[in-house]
Amino acid sequence: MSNTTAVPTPGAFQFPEIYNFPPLFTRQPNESTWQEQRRQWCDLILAYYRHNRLYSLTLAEAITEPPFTNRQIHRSLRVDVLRELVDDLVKQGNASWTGAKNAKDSCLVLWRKPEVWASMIYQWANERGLFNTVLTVFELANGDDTVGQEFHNLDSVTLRRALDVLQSQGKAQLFVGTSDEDMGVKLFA
Amino acid sequence: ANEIVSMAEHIATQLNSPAASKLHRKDAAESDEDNAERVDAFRQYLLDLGIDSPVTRNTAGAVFHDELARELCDYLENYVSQCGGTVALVDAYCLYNRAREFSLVYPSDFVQACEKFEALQLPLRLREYPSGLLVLEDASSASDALIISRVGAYIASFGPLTASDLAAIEDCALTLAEERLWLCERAGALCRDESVEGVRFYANAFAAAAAVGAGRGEGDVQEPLWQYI
Repeated sequence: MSNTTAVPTPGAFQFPEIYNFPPLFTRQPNESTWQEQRRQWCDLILAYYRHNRLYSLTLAEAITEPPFTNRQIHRSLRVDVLRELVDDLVKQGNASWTGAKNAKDSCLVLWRKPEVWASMIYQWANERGLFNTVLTVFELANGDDTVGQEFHNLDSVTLRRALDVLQSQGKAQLFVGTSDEDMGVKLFA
Repeated sequence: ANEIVSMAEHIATQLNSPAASKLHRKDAAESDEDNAERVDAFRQYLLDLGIDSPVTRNTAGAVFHDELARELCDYLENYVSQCGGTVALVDAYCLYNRAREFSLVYPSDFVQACEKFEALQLPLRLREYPSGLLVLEDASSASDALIISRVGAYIASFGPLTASDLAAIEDCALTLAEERLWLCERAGALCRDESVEGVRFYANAFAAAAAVGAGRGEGDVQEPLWQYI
């Protein structure tokens, strides 16, 4: 379903009041009502995923769980409505379809855009004087040196996206190993 | 049949005569009160029996639809009021044709006459809802704004409503209740909740939330602290 790669932020997620409003879970036919509804959902999805440090979702599984199911009020979002919401998130750069092309059944939730992750990693490397040394992607994500950094224990697909951004900006070079965990990266000024 | 019609006409004339109306005057004798009641009851029987001289193409010629429109309004106005200001067109048509009995009106003529109500400034209106439902409405009392505020008030008192709830409250047909709820939804006053229990309408909390959020800037979901490279 979703990758949990870190301890969630302390404290349960605080749902907004509208989360217990049953119409939230019905696709509204009135266009301007829908605009507000989709805005509420997109905000909620990103906030929930950020709070729980979740990075990806598979639509068919996700709708049976919070936040897309609210057991208190016995309502669930329909999968086609969720698909519409993810399309919106993709448009605003906060999601990316994965899996089979045009299948639209799984996606990354980019509650922090890859460019921002890239910036954090680059800044950390600069501070530690790690330019021009080869690091494994594994130690970047999970090594002792990165404990306390935001990107520590970052989901591997999202991390790869961030490193791709750095590479396209000419600030890094990726070395492909036998798997993603074996991959190496060299950052430079 | 024409004999019955002319007999009814004759009786109607007598009922409307000055002698008959004396029975209703304040200084009438007590025994006259009973008579007055009987006269009224008889008038009602005549009305139920039918219209005494219906408009036909023969009688009206070129202004047939105009005259028909006037007759329709005459006949249907009270009925529409009693039904809460709105009546399905098919119901009005059946009622009216039953009253005409022997010189029935074609549906097309009926509709054409109804379409003239507004132009002739008669007190009823023909209205078509987006779903295709045709109704006759009291020109004065059925405006959208009134429906929206009424339904809003019901929801404030009774909580979220289904179409059958509204039909029970307003004592109207289910299809009409649905149209009213959809009208309020189109206007943004209500939003819907669909579940296995059916469709229920709530006051539109999204609109309220949108109003609150109007002052909010773009990009608040993103963290403002980090710079892009």
